Amino acid sequence: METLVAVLVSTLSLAAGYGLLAIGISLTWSSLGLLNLAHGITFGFAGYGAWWFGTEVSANPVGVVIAGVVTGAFTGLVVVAVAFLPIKRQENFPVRSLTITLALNLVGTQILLRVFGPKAKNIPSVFTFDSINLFGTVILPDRTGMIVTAAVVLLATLIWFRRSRSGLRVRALMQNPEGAALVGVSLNRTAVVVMMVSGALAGLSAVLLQEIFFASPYSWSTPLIKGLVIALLGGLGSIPGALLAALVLGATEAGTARFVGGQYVLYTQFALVVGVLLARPRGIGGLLDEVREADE
Amino acid sequence: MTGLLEIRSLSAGYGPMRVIHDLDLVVHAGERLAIMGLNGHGKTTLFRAILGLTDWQTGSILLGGREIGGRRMSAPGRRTHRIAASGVALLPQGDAIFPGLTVEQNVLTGVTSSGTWRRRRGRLDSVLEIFPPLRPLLDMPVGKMSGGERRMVSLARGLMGDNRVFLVDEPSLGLAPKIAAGVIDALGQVELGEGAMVIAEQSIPLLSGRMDRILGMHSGQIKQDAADAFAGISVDH
Amino acid sequence: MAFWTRFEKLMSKRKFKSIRQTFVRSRRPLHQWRQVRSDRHAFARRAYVNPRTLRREREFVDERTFWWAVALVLFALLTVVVDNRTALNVMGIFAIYAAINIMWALVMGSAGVFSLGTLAIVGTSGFIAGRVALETGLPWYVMLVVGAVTGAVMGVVIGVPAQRLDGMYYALLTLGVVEVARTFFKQSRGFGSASGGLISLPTYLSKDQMFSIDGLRIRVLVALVPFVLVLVLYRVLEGRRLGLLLRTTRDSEAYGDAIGVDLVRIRLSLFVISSSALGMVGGFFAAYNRSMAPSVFDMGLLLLMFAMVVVGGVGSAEGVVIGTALVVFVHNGLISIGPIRIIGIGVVVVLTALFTKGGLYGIPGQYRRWRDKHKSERIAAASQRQGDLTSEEAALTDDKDLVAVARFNDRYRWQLRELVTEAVVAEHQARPVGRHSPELDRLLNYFRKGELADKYAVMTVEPFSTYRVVALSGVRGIPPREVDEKVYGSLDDAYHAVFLRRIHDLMES
Repeated sequence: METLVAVLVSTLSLAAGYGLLAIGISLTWSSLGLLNLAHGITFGFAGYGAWWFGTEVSANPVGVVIAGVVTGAFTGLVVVAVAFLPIKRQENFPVRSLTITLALNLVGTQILLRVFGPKAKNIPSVFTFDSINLFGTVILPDRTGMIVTAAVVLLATLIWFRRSRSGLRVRALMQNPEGAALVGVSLNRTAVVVMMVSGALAGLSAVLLQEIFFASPYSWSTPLIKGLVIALLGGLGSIPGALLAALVLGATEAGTARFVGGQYVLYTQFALVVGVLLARPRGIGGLLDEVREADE
Repeated sequence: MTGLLEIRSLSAGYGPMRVIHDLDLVVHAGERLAIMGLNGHGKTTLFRAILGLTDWQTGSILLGGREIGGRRMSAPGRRTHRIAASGVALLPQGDAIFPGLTVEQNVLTGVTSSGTWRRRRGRLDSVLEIFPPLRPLLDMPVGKMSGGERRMVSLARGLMGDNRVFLVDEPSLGLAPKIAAGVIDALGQVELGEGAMVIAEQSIPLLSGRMDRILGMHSGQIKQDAADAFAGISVDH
Repeated sequence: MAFWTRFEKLMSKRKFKSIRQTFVRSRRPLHQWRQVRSDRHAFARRAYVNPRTLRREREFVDERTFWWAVALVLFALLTVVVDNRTALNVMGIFAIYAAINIMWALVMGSAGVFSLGTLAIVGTSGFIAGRVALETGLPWYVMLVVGAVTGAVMGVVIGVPAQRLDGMYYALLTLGVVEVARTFFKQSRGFGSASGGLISLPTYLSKDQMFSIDGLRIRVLVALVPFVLVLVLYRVLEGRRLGLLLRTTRDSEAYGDAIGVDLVRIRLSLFVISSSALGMVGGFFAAYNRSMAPSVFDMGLLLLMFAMVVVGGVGSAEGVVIGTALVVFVHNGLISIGPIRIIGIGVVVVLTALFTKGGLYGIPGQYRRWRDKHKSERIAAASQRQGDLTSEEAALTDDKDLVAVARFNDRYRWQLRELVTEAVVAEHQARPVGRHSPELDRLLNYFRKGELADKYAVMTVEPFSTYRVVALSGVRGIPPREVDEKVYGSLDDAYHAVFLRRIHDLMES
């Protein structure tokens, strides 16, 4: 029982952290056709933003979280301004934008290195309440806070996406870009909204995952790859798919770490993803994509 | 005499092809206008040019006195969302709608201002009055529906916004005659007020008696008198 | 090419005669150097008459081979001349990276597989080759063979999913492959997790050469060998037949199916062959450095290599090599200016992606296209609108023939319209068939050669009594459509009705 609870908690917290990243990637790809690899550096910048606020301004947890989120959203804004708006209608857009986002990673890393130095920074702890004892397993406040925060935020994102007018516009854009223009959806404005939301989610994830990844110039590559892999497994473009994929991969990670050994986590995860993708090339939630393609 | 939509010496096309040649057209407020013409004579391109979707275009298009056209040599679709938001609804040939969204969501995408969005429930109800068959299907993904139902969704979407000009492209295309008649009837019920409706069609009998004015379109130009020439033609779909 | 003519002139002088015999007209005719699976040979030339001088000249069918040879000789000479260790090191790194990048560009450009896993293949092959060499004590060149085999195996393993997955999905997956490889080689004790990689691997330098500058020169010169091998492989695979097939079918698999090309097989074999070459380079990389470290799998290096490939342009070996030279020079040659140089590289990549369609190497072509477009736009604007096409359209048309034809037709129609008079119509009505006046003849001739689509014709409903006017569809199998309800009692009446319709259309168009 204790093991089970521990694995479950671990699963949920990992899913929470990576899911936040994956949804941003998924959303950007399906609505803008932009594979945003600069999501990694967004994560990196947000971590430093939170750290800077925590050490220089105040260690107030809410402030730290907001600082991370705002930095993330702002980085998203920079990415959309450089990698999307200037070339969105030009030929060969997917590869060119991908190239730009990769180059932004290169540039961003060096900027972080120059400004903050190579030493990893510790973001102040956000959750300061007591540990919870569940069936004899002690759950650290970080874990609880992470799961709850991420669940709330993800739910809010889902509701925004499903119910609000701008969410509807994003979904219209995913389905049929020309049709979206015909109902007055501005590609530029939607792009900015999408990238700021996904940047903010990456920022939140950077603050929540600070237990695992300190703010350091190079620490973004593993979260980026995990986020990408989840988005991939979920079938780029499907939010429910991405959430499910986050849970599945979180469970694989937690289970492997517990029962097989921490160093094998990447292998089992990768084997799982390859297996699923070979069986269903569009991932778990690829249906939406298929519909979109059939329509074009 | 000025009209709601005034098109002056419009030329438009795709790549090296010029489909619309120096076209002039005035659509008056409150009017239902039909444009007849065979395939390939530029009806669809005219509508797409009004919304800035052709590869290039020249000439002026005034909507209520405001320029929405002008010379544009590249970037199809760059101004489309602004033109659409200023009150031009294109109900395209086929179904350029969102197959993965439900009927309700599809119709709601047609809302063009945040004021209307707040009153969307009431607006939705009044639109469904015109298309009663859609009411039980509200939660169904549009991709799974029949051609006639999809056409209705497309029309309903156009009615949700505060649109002044409705451009309806071949509403009967690909539909069984009975269903096509139903769609046209529904179009006839739309209260135009100060707005106007332009319908492009290939078959006159379907529209006879329902339109205020019928113009012919031939080789990318409007023929004021051509309606008679087309009167006898029946075109199989 | 003028160069070649001058060269031949020089060779025809007496004192060069013997050289000429061996070089220009050697006993082995050039076609024996034909490239595998293609009909071209490396230094093929063709004769043509220079329109200015009216003299026969010969030029290379493909100049690039010649310039490559020149560049390689210059590089080798530079190796001997340069006395600076840093510069030599940079040149060696350049040769190896260029070899890797050429194969990468082949995979992305020709095979159309957007792979980011190149370094995973190189690194894994290097590690395995190094391990084999350490275990068996075999000399360094065995590592090239082992690397090539490992590369081929990896090519099959990671190439097969590529045929099933979409471009972007595959790109992400290969990124995962690199990460898996990095973790594996970092953690695995057999590959030196304790010492930070494999060390003291066999190499091609003797003990005393290792630290002398002459040894360094040899080291760099030998690094040209895999580079040249890869370059030849690129030319063969990009060659007319295979390369053309792949380039034409890259965007449409259905088209490939339709013309009977087994695209999947071609792509896969291309991928496996290039992976094998990458593995060979990996083996050489291990021998060159005498060590392998898991840092080959680092994201930073991947980004840097990607920058090299895209800055020059993925479409050609030349572009890739130029990009590699540029980035390697800035990154490894200008270490003294600090990390700002990497920011510079990143900014250059962003600018290239923003403003060029095919990297720096594609700029001349892009500029020419831009200039041509503007030139024709100016000409068209100056000559006013006379034809059927507007100046804007004329500028947009690549085929200027179309513009000329449209103008001609338009003027022709204007002239014909003037011929249409009451008299001509009356003449036709009186006698639709038979001898006509010159004016009517011209009109009828114009109508006869009109396009088939929508051309009016007479349809016999009932011979000698019922005729109707129809319009041809212009497409085989699609019947003509009826134009109106009118029925004509005689053939002559129907002919005249067709004539009137055509006249009407002429006046209207």
